[in-house]
Amino acid sequence: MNAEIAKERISYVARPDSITSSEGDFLATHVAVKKLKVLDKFELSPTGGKSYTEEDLFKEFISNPEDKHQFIAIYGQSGTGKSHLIRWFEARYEQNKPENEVILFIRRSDNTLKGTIRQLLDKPEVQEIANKEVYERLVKASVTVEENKLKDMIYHNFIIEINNDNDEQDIKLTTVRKKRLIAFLNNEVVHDCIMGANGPIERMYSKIAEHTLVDRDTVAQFEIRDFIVSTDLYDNIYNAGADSKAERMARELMSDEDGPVEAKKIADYLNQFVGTVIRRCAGIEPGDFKQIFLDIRKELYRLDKKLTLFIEDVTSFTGVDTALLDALIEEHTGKREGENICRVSSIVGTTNNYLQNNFKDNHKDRITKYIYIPSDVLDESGLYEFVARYINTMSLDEESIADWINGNANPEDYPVHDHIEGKNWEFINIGYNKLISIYPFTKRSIIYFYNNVLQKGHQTPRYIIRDIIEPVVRDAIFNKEIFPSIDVNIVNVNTTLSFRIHSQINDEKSVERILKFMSIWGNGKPDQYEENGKMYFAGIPKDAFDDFNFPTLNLDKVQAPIQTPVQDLSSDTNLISQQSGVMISEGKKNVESSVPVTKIKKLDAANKFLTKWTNEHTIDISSTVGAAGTVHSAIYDEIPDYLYSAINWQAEGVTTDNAKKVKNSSLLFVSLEGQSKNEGLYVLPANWNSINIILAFIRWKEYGNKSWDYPDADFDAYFITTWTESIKKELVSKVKEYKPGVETKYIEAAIAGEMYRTILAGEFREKSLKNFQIKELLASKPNENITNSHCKEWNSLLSVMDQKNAAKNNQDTVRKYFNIDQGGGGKVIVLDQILLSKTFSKVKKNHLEISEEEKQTDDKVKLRKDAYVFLNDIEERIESVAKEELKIGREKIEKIYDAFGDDEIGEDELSEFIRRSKKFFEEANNTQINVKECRLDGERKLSTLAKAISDISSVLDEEDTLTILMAFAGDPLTTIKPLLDFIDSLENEVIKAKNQITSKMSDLTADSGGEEDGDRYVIEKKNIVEYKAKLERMVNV
Amino acid sequence: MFKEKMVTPAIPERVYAFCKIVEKGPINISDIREKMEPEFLGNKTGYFNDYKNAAEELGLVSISDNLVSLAVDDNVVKNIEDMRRYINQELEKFNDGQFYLVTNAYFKKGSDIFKEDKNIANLAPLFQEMIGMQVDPMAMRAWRFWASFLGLGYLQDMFVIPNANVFLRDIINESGLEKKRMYSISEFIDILSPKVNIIISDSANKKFNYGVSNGLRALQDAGFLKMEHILDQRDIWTLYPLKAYSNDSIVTNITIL
Repeated sequence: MNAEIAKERISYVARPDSITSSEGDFLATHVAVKKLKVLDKFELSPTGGKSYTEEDLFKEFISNPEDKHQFIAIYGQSGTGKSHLIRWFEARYEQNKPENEVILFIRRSDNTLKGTIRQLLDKPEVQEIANKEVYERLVKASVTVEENKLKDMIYHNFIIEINNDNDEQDIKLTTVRKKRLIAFLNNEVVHDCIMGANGPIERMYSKIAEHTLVDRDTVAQFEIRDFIVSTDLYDNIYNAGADSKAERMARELMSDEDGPVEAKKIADYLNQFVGTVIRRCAGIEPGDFKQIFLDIRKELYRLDKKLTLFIEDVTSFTGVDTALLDALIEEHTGKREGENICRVSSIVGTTNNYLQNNFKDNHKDRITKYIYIPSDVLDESGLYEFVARYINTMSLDEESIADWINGNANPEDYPVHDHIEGKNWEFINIGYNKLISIYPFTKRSIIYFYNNVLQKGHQTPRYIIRDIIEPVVRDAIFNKEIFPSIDVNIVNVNTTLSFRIHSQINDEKSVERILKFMSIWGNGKPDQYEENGKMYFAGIPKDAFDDFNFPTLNLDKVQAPIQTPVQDLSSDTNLISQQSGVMISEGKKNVESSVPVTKIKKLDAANKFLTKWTNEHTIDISSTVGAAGTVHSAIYDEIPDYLYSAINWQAEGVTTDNAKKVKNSSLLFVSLEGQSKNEGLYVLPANWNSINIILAFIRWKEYGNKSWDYPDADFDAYFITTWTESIKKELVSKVKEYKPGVETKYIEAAIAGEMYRTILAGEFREKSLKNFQIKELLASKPNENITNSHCKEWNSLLSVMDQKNAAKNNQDTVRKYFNIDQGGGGKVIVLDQILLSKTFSKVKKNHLEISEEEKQTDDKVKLRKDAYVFLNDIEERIESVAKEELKIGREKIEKIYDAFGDDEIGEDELSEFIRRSKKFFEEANNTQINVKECRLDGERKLSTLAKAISDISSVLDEEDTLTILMAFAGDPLTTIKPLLDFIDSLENEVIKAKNQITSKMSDLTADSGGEEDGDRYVIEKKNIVEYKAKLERMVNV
Repeated sequence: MFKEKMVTPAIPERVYAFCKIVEKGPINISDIREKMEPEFLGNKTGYFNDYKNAAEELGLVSISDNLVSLAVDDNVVKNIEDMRRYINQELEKFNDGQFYLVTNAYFKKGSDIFKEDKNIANLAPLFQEMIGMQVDPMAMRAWRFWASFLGLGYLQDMFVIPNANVFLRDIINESGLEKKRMYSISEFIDILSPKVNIIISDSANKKFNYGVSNGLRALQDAGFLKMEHILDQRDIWTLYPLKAYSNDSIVTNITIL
């Protein structure tokens, strides 16, 4: 290479669009293609059959030896070299054309409709055609509308077309769907999306707007992807308050199953209007175009000329393509006989897709020959020659090229540049003993880029220039000191080589650079050998290392290969097509296993993603797809799962319950430095070592299918276990902590909460915690929903505790925390009795209280925080619960006090009360007072009743909430309820008796009206007075 | 557990918890059982005898007339790491026991263990064949707890990745090897023998298997020891080759740092 010249020339030579390069550069870079196919009928991707060279085709078809009307379509995928071939045919024909042949070459440098017509009118042979002035006026009325306005015009013209669609098109939509589509397209979010970069409107715009940068082979059509609605897009549409019809359509298009089908339907439907919209926006009608072409043919006939038309890209004619095809396919001996039009031989370039979808069947049938350029038009040697010629051409000054062209561009005279750089690099023989150094490439690197950088379908000359030659050469000549700095994945990086380089070079950037060079330019092996007095590292000569000032490495000394690297490469059988089963082992112990290429690529993408992280120190792994998704999985699943089982948490003093709670929290065991979401307990620094840790886990998952059975897994397993030991202490300490330096104490809150629950649920009914033992704590039963007489607040707290299973979860925490677990297996609980006793005693001693300062209510581990939330829910309610319960208790107990006329009520008092009440009923019966005898339920359980009364009485003046709660824990209100009921009933019956006595007394008064009977009831009266006095005394007990 | 069949309930942490109760003073068996597996928990069966027996086998406790006493110095059970160090010193006593033999076979298997089933319990037939003694899945499940605890490897779900760095560190720390003194590799091995025999599988060929090599390399990475290959030395042992680590797998001398 001659970098000095190349710096000037690279922009001119390395142009992906062959049409824009000069004639000299075009011919100097031309590599003969040999794998062309000729067909009579269109096939999308023909295989087999005879292969032709470009020279064969020129002689047989292009030069039109039979002088006939013909239409030849040259097609192939985008970038396969259609333009290049057409240009070569044109140049070749120019040298041999008959005298009366006019060659029109329609370039696509101005790829707009008007630009294309203007090219036609500029040809000297048609300067005299009829109506020329009119046509020129037509095309010169250039579109000067602003870009956004013009795009909007295109967009809304589609809406107009849908609105005015009278179902005359082949593909129809129902009226309802049309309305939905219009509403959808009128939605602001959808509008912005479809109008966006690389959207369909931009594609159409490029066919109308002049002086725009043309995306070659762009087909101005709607595609399925234009109408696929992602979840995010749907959310945006919805949030922007979409019309219901638009939203409905968006929903349909979002569906995984039907979305693509619907999107295709819409794309196909709208594509019917593309021509009309483009013509309208460009201000041209098909009739205009057809007339122009007919006039050209008439004019040439008049001049006794014949026309050979080379059209680089038929998509230039979008909008009038049908008219063009009509005009070209029409033979000079056809229906216009008498109108005298000239013979036309057309060689038209088009993409597979355009030919398949935009050429109508009647046009396809009338195409004379199809010439197909396969995607892999260059074989391996052709690829090397292609690169070599470009490097050579950009290293030559224009004069040298011009001299060669002027000398008829004979291959034997082909100029070769002075090799200023790359004298000791690989050379390519392009024939006639012309040797060209391919510096800054090696053959391996060319193959590598071809296989790994170019996407499938992009392995064509255009992309070889755009994505390989141009960026690599530019990097070498402008960034030599940091070459190779281009952004490229190292596919299947050799771990051993990577480690070996890292052990010898400290600077991370130098490591990255040399690793890339050895992996892509070389064979990626950590080997060095000597051959013919020259040292080779990873198969690359030391001179190449020296050219870029790479440091010298100490690698494994091996025998030189039988063949030299150059010979070795050239003898490889079709490296280009080697697409599967990449070897990732380097022959250790003859173990050679293959890993599917997709998995290797997945790892490489993750490697690249992580390398970026080490440069930028920030990373977003929230996505679960792509490279970020691969790393996400390692950080969120593989690493935590591994660490959870690899660390003996219990042996490290961390209960299984705590470790499990941390693992299940949003807090990661290990996060990445600069990670955008989720904190980690241990932060992996953004360095190479961390990359290897993560990649080891990815390989374990991807290569080994969650095993260590894959090549070089032995090193990965060593690496991650050693790493585990190195971080264990820090990680364990973090799991033990709630905040730096503060031990997690959630179990104390959980125990306090459980003890409260046990009391409130009435499972522990004693008035003091003294008898609250471990048994009461751990053997407690879940809440049972039974009726009780507690206050509303008490029951409401029980409900709160049960919400979302909080009580059950807290109980589980207490029961599991002290279990010495055997790896998740085993149903038997074995207590860590010492820890349990210590913790339980502390909680009990503190009277279930945890000071505000000790509460860890902002613990980032949710499941640990839940213990505090549960306790807090209890604590913030118990005071009002106790107050209200006490209030009710007081009311009830005072009623009893009133009935008994005493506030000291024990079993004796209760017995006496019952005795007297019985006496009352006996007397009532004897005196024939009609009362209903009632009894005290549970008359024989007076001790229970007395205890309940005592429990309540004991806390009437109590202020300690817990003491009050414990007093009411056994639900004494329910116990005293029968007594209260009895008192009520008794009172009622006494009143009834009183009333009856009063009534009888009044009767007596009425009967003693006659004086003669004044002494008749003297004895009875005396009795009544006595009984009355007795009864009153009883009632007033 | 160590003398005969391995059983899963006898996990190291239970043995340790058992010893910590005994540490406070001699205690009746039924009292410890009631402390660790009280009836009110409603356990249908018990594990108690399994870990009690393991503690007794290991000489951590002695039992006489149902009274359990600590049979070692209090320092041995001061913390669980001390107990691990003690047990690692004692393993050779059980060299005809199932645990010892399976461990030895596991290290002998080297990195080929990666080619086997990921669930160690499914490797029972393999180890049975290797050691010539009946090994069932339960024994393998029990083995994994102790292999992991004693620092012979790292548990990954139901698999154990060989790396004996913790075990080797324990043995070296108790061996009396002097720091900063360069030992020839044979001296080093001699001093550590027979306590390391459980993990050395090919002393005849002077080859460190994969798990031991991992352990030595990990200790070197941690700055605990330094392995050297001094070219004129004839007394050599070979590490399992890991090219990414180094292209030199030969060790002639070791220095404890």
